[in-house]
Amino acid sequence: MNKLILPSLLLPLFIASACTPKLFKGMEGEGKQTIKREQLYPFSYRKGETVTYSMQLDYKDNVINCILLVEPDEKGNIRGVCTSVFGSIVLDFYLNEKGMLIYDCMEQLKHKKLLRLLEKDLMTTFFKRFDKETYEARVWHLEHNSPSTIATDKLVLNKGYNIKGKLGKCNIKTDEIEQHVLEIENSGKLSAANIRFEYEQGNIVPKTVKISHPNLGLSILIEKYETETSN
Amino acid sequence: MLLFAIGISASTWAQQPLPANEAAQLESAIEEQAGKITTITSQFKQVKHVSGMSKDLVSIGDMMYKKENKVILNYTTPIKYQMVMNGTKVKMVNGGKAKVYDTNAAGASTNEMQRMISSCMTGNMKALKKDYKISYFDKGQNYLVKIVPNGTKKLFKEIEMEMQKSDKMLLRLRLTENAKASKNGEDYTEYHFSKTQKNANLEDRLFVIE
Repeated sequence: MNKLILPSLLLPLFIASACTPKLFKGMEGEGKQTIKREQLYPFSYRKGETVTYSMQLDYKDNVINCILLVEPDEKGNIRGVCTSVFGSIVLDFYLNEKGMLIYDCMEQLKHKKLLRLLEKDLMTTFFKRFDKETYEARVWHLEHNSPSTIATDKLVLNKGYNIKGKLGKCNIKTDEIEQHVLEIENSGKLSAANIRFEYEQGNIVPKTVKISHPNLGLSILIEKYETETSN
Repeated sequence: MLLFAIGISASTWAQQPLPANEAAQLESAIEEQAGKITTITSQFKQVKHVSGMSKDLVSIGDMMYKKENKVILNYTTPIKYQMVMNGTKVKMVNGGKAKVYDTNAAGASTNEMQRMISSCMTGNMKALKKDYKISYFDKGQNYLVKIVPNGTKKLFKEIEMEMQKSDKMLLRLRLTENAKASKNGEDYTEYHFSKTQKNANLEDRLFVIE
């Protein structure tokens, strides 16, 4: 009987740790909850704001540099165009909650799986895949005892959410102090991706987005910059 | 009504087709000049217009051309990027990394692009006459040249070149892409050239691709 005590004590701990996504390592589980979309800190662009990013695709030894122009429409959906440095169109697209509509794309991209992968990446990056008001999520958190506060007053640093949407399962890690999304992990075979967001102080729109597809050896770096635009 | 009439006459005057004899003279003058050009250096502003987008994307850089088929495009803003074309070879340099291609292997579109850049920069209309219909217009201080491909399977629907009457130097080049069924409106890339210099000394080593 005594032999069973240790395994029975360790088993729940083992199951709990095995079920914790790598992204939430060291965080404490809260179980299943219904969460609001706002808890994921979806960012959106101001209406009429055009944001320019540089976009670098790194695949094996090949590096492709593009310029990505993004602007929201009156519905908050995203019209975007990605061009080569010389101005030729790499991908001309429109993102709404239903998916990615392609107006034009370069010949080399005209493969169903590749476009599906880009759709998932861009929908996640620009927060268009989170279309529901509420989600059933498994939740984690990381607390911090601030030395300036009393011992019982704990500060939540990060939250972790495991949710399922129409583009599959994903893990989302947020920064509860700055109220930003920090990292999203998309599940999938080839389309599995880790997407990291970096921000400038006080800005709700990320300055840098790093997308990594470990199963493909593909990485995409999207960096915001100021540039001259003309009407 | 009067304003409308003035508007109509101003817009028609703004782009008058040249009579056949003047067009032939201009063509000869451009080709004569093309024959004298050995090198060109210029600064450029590249404006990419995509239909449906409220703003255009603007890039800035400088360009070097050396006869017969050597071209360097140095993009400085927003991305630092260099393209060197020398004969059939093309080198792309980004972030200190260089990649060399052969245009023969890269396909017909790259070859056509190179031929067009060289021809448009120097005004070598002869090189384009075989595959394109060329028409000339008077536009006040400048001449406007419209180049339309004969076939349908071409990179561009239309190419517009605007050049100064005084020295026939290229001021503006617009490459209008073939319209896509999925889009309303056309996309184009426009180049504005400034501080253009002819026949400056450009050493061959600048264009070497290894």
